Amino acid sequence: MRLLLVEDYSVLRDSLRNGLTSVGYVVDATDNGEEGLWYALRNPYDLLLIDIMVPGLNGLELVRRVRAEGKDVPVLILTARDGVEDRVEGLDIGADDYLVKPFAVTELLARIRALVRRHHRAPNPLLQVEDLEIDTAGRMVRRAGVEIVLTPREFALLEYLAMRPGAVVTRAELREQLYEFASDPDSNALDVFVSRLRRKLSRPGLPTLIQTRRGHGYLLGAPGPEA
Amino acid sequence: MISLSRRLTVAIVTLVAASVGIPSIGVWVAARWHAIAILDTSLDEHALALSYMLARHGGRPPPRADPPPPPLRSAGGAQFAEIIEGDGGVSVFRSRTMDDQPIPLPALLAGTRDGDKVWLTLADGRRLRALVARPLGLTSLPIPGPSSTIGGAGPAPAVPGDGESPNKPLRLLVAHDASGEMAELTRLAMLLTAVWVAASGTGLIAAWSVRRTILRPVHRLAEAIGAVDPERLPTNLSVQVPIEMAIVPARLDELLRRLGAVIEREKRTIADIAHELRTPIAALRTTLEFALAAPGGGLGRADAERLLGVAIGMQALVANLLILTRLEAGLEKVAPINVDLADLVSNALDTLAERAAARRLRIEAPDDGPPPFATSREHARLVVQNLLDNAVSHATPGSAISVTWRRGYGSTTLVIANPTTAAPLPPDHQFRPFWRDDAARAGDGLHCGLGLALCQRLTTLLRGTLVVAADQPGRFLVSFTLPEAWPS
Repeated sequence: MRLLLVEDYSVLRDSLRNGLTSVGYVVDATDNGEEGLWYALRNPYDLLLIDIMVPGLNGLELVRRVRAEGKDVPVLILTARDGVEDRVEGLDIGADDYLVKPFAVTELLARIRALVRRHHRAPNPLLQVEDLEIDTAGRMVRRAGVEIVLTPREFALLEYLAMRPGAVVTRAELREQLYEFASDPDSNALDVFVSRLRRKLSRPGLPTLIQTRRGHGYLLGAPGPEA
Repeated sequence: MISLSRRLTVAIVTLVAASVGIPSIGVWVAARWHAIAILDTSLDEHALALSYMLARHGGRPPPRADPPPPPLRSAGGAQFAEIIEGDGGVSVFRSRTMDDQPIPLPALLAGTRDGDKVWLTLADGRRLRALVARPLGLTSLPIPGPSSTIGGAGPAPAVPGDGESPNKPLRLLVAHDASGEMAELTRLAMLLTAVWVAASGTGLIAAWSVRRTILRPVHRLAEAIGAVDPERLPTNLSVQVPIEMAIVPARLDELLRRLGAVIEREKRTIADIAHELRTPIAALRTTLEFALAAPGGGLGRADAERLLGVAIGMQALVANLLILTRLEAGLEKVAPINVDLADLVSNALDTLAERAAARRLRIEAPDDGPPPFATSREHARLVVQNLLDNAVSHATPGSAISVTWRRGYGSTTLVIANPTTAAPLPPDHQFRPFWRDDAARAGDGLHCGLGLALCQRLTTLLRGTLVVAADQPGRFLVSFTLPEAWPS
């Protein structure tokens, strides 16, 4: 899952970026609204985390312009402004949720998960693909009832595939979901990564869940009608 | 405490008593003057008639058989005593009604001059108005015979002694009984006094009524004020008062509005403080929660340094707030000592060097500065530190901050100028705590939004001036001026 964080208070920005990365999100962070808009319009984010009082371009104006460009990416506003009018204004302008600082990290993560699920039309936090169960809230994976331990990034990759069961996800799309903007991963790093995940998910006597479509990408589970 | 009720009562009663009493006294004085004038005219006329009569009888009093003098203008008819003093004795002619009244002539005549009109009081208490005069055409009275008293009621004629002139100046005394007039005047005085007392009593009742009428709106106003909920101040009292008193609720409404604005500003400041603290607290909490949630659950050195920076920033905010509060409460005191401002600038720049370098800022400051002068070192240091801190925080990265000195007549000015991309500060928001435009926090997490507000109040305490201006587009300039001699 790839997030954009627009926050001008450097300590909070760094803390959120590091913390969200540690739980498997890919985070692009910036300290001003203009740059945030540029990122938001050019990258396929699963969520925007926006502070209102940021220099350059006000957070609310940023959201308004993102919506004006037809982007339906979920927006979670993080702000110190807690007035009812502020919340109403933020939600009316196109934000999906509003979190007042200071907040509990667990609540932030829960809201991020809820917004991402809603965006991907997967309202149930428990994703199931054949005999594979993915608990997005508890960050746990089971196959045939056996728990599988994954790193945050492996979990993020699996979660992304599980939200599109039976659909081919392109390598470019996966790369965007797994690496920050401007990072330049090794060309076969993704293959190695997928290969390691596939190995962890494999069980004797059970079919392979992650399929490779050469020249296209990967899919999880049995192919769907359009795959 | 002044009693408005008592003042009103005293004023109204005094007014009524004076407005009735003074004319009453005037009426009584005029009546008395008029009565005396009539008496005096009668006396003059009678003295004239008596002069003619004496002349007709060769200087002697007329015999009793002569007809009495003509009736005079006097209430109750003629009641005159006519006394003729001549050489060697006194001849008295009395009107019939005065026959039995002894008149102390010698004592009376001794102290009077011709033309005097005097008051006599008889033994029975009656008062006489008397005129002492010289008869026309007769300058002296011939020496009378052994008894020339006509009517037999006068004293025995005096015999002139040796060396005395046989002819002495002739004088007349004509008296009129004024008892009737005096009684009338007394009755008039009593009547006027009764009217005055009645008017004063009426004034007292009127005062009570007026006091109630006047104070009723005041009571209504007091009730309206008493009903104000201090937790929810109204913008107006909505109380009906007479138009003459409308200014009072109007002023109170204005006061309420201003009070409401002050409370609103205080609330906003508190909310601003809360907002300012929320973000660093969020940073602390987020960092710690992520650290605890991570496998191994520890903070790295970099995290610890960041959190320390946040704590220092929050500490600075709290310290500045405390100073601001003390300044606004008038609790900050100045103890002037000789202060080297250039030294303060140099020290401040040392503390900011690292941050300035991180933002690639160049600071152009002269080596020498103004001579030391008396001011408060700590307060001046805070101003200099905050102004330079602002410049380092908001100067365009890679630009130059200019620090210069300007000497005026009895004052020194520190001028700090820096290029900035921030929008110019609106004049009415320059010194408002926590006010910031969209770009005010750019690039600096520790900025607390109090700097200029604090500097402005500190400068006022130091009897100086602080001027913030954008002298050119994209350039921020602040002038901090202090008097070189501490005003006594």
